[in-house]
Amino acid sequence: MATCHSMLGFEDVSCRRGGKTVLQDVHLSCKRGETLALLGPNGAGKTSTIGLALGLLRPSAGRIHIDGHAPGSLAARQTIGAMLQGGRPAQAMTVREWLMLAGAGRGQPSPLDEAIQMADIEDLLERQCETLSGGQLQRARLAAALAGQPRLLFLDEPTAGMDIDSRHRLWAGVGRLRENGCAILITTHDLDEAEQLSDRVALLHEGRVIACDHTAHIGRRVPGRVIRCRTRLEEATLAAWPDVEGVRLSGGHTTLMVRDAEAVLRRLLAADPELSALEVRNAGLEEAFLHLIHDHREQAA
Amino acid sequence: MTTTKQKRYLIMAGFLLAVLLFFFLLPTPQTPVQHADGDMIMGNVRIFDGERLLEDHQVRIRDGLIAAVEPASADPDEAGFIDGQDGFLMPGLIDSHVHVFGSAREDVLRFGVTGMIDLFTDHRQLPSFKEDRDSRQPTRRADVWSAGTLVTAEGGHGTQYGMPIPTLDDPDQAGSFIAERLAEGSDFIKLVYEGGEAFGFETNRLSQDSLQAAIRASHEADVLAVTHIGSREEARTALAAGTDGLVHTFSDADIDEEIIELMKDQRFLIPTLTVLASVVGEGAGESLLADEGVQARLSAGQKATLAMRFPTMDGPARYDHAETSVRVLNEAGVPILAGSDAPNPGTANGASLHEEMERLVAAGLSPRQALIAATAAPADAFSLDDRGRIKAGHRADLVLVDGNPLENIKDSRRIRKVWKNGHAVDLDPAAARAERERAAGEAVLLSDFEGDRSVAFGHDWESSTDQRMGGQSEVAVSQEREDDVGFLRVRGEIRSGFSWPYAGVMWFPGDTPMAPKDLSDFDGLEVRLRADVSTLRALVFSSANQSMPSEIDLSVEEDWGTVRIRFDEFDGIDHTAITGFGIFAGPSQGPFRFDMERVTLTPAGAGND
Amino acid sequence: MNTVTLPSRAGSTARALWLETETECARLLRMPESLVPTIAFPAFFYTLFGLVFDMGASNSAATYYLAMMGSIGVIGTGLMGTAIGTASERSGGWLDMRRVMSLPRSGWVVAKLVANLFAGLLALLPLFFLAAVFGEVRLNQGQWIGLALTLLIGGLPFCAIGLMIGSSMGERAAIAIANLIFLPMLFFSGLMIPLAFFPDWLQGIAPLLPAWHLGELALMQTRGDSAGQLVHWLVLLAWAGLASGLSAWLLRRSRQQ
Repeated sequence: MATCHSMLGFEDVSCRRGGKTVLQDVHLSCKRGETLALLGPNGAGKTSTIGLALGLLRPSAGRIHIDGHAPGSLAARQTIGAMLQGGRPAQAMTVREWLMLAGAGRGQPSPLDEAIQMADIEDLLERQCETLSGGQLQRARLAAALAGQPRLLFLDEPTAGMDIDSRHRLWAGVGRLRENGCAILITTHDLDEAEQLSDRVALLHEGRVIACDHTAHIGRRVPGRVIRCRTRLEEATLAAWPDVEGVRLSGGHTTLMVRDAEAVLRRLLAADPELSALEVRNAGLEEAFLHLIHDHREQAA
Repeated sequence: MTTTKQKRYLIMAGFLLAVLLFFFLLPTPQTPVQHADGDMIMGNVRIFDGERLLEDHQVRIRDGLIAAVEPASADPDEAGFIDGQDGFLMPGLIDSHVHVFGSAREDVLRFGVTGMIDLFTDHRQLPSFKEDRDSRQPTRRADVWSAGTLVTAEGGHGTQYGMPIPTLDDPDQAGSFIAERLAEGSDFIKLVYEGGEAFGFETNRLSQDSLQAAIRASHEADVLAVTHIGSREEARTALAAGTDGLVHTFSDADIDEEIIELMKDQRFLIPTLTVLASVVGEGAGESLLADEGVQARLSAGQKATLAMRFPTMDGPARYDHAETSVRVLNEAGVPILAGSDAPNPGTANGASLHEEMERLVAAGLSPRQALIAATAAPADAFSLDDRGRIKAGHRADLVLVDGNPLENIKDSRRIRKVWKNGHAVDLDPAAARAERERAAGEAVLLSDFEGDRSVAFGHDWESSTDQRMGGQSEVAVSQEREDDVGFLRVRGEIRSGFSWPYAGVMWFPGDTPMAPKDLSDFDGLEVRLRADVSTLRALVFSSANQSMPSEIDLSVEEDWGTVRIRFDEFDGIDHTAITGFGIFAGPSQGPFRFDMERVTLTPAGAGND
Repeated sequence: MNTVTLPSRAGSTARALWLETETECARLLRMPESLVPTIAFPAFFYTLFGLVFDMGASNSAATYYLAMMGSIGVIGTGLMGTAIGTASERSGGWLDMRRVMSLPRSGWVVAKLVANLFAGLLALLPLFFLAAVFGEVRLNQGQWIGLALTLLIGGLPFCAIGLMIGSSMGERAAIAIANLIFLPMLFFSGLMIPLAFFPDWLQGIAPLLPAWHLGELALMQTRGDSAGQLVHWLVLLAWAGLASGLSAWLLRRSRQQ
């Protein structure tokens, strides 16, 4: 193959919808056996990117290919499986019928068992889709995306509304698919999830890819470290300290993004003798995400 | 998995089978039409069924009835298939205004008229009308539904025809009067309510009370009461009295709203434009006389009535008034029925119905409506349940014409074939009939003198005397009628002047007078005769005895008797080349008179009697 | 043991079409709440007008109303069923979902049409049964089948009209608008009450409505008339073309938003 196993390719793709530019010069690719996480705040263009890849939207400039085929073509559709946000099957359709239809046009005969197991919907097969709960429906969507063993999988916020158990099952499944050579494009808000699943991350902001790198590398692009602890100190106080780049309070924990970890640590311990649950680590995806967007905003400004 | 799948397919197949079965079990009209030996199938025709045109259908005929009107399917090679050659098939026509006399019932068939509404005739015919129309046997006569004796006032219209009829002059008698008509067999009641003013004469008419009483009595007896009227006011009165239909339209004035409203009440109009045209001199019969096809099928009697004219009348009647009524009432949805009033002067039995349809179209009916006026509409108006339509169960009375009368109503005359009770009718007045009878070894009716002197073949009976040979004898021939039986009266005087004086009538069997004709299929003739002399003579000319006819004596009586004349009694004649046959008085001198009623040729080999 | 496998020879378009059609028909049967009224409505009025109120000795009313109520049956399943189905599938996201699936594009239309023929048949069967058993309607075999086919095929243009409604509005609006079109159209086409009872100017409206043309075709079938059908078919075809063209445009437009 000319593109050497590149299952998905965006080349300088721009997209305008309703007079607004939603994507600008996007360049993306996803190889066989690779998982690409598409990250970005709401409105960054993640869903539009998937829409373009699926052929639901048309680019206003640039080229997109799905394993060498145009998005929306039958060949492209036979290659992909897509788990989209929202959307429910036609009324009175059973889960089994949904899965059969989802797998119907695929190239080779293949059992649906794997999809059913992975999505844990064995008990739901004869249910009509409108009787499913949100989580059940999400699992059925996953099964439909997996039906017929796609070679390119789109997962748009796949774990939203799933319980922990299903979520783990999904992660395990995605891992297996990747091992089998499936290319996966995933959008998520859960950075832990992205960090755990993806080989590479593309960060979208305001319609532009502001960073695209291996997941492991991307954290390193952020110079600083992260201190996490329980403390009485005010957020505003901490933010005013030199070397502190950002402060976040969540679940009783305070997270500090710092340039000089040792200096800040000393000062922390000195300022709050009752400080506990101290943790220091290198900056991760989350920090990189915040940092990069921060930078991008500043540049734009 | 496979089992669920199999179950699914089983359910689908079962459903499809059930649907198919359902459709096959849906009931079809009557008993499904099956092929039966002797069925006649009329195909390759466009069918006007009395209301609308059916394409790609065929008509199946069995036992004198229409067994089915079915999608065209017959194989032209199938037994009984009649190829209509893309002709136009319509129901036997119904003339809604006639007076049946003489040979009318035979004559109309040649014009596709298989049913007639008779509005006054000798009521003694009514039982035979009923019997005939109930029969599905082959027949040479059209069916008749008749009013029998009409209801009129003493000295009123209807009494002037030389036939004494009872009259209704007291409304209190109406009930018994109507009961008598029904006892005589009248199918419906016809009333006359005309004083003659529309046509400039004066005659008695029923009183309004009698009119009302007679209509009421008819309705109580559950029969229709139709009325002959002359003027618009007479029409108004008759309609107000509740008459079911007018059998003429008025022509003295234009129609008005009140009459339209009265007519809308489910009544019908038989405008008889043709006879009105004859009365007021609007060229009645002209279009028939100009039509060679029509000419060929007219008998001498039909030609005669067509050529006759009414005496000039002097009244306010105008043809355009009548046309206006027809147009307006047709637009108002009043059923219009085609009736010719044949055999009045200017009309001919059967033929004039076609002229009536043409006149109805000229008055504003569409050709389709005009055809309905001569088919389904009269059947509906007079409750003739199995006539007037091409429909399963109806009588197989059919007419096949060329062209398309729905586009040009005059095409209704282009008759190719007529079937009565499912049997084809001879369209040639008499010759073809004779030929068939002769071929079948049956007696051939040469002449019945019912309307004229016509013969089945050869030249009509002609008077003949010895004047040709320089003699002095004289003869006069006239058409007479007694007890409703027509006969030929021959009277004259035998005078000296020729050595064998004679006077009488002759028939030439050949195509031209004195052309030889092979009569060897026949062994002689039978003649119904009566005379005031005791002896007549029969003469036969043949090629073998051209100048000297061979003759025998006939003894005759004063009362009717059948006289048998055998050819082998004549000396020296050639059976195969007979040129003339005559019946004469003489040689005894003096006045004579003899009457001939019926002449029949008897088949050879039918045995000696 | 596999509980579900993809159909053998998957990938063949025919197989996918079959599957989608089968699913569509099965779904139809699972929704009695929308199927039963469209079947019961004409059957009820047929019983009323064609059987109970049939005064004359003849069965002309039974035959006449078979044609009329048959038309109503297929118009009901076609117009209402398609309008509501399309609106709900469009707003529920199914249309976008199936656009991403490897199903042939035509499958949705084919499945809808076949399912509609099926629903139409389900609406006609009880009518034909009532007509044959209680209305003593007698037609030739060919006429019965011809009538059913005329109604089923002649009902398809109403699917296109339903599609047009379903493509242009949401589910609730589609139900309202479809009803708003359905009932007056039956009335003004003379399917409920013969046109002869209407004033002239109202009668003039009928030929503008596709339902009248379908009714005329059905009547012709019961009378065995073949002449003059072409015009009515052409009018129905024109309606079908117009409505499906408009629907295609509406659907494309709604996708871009």
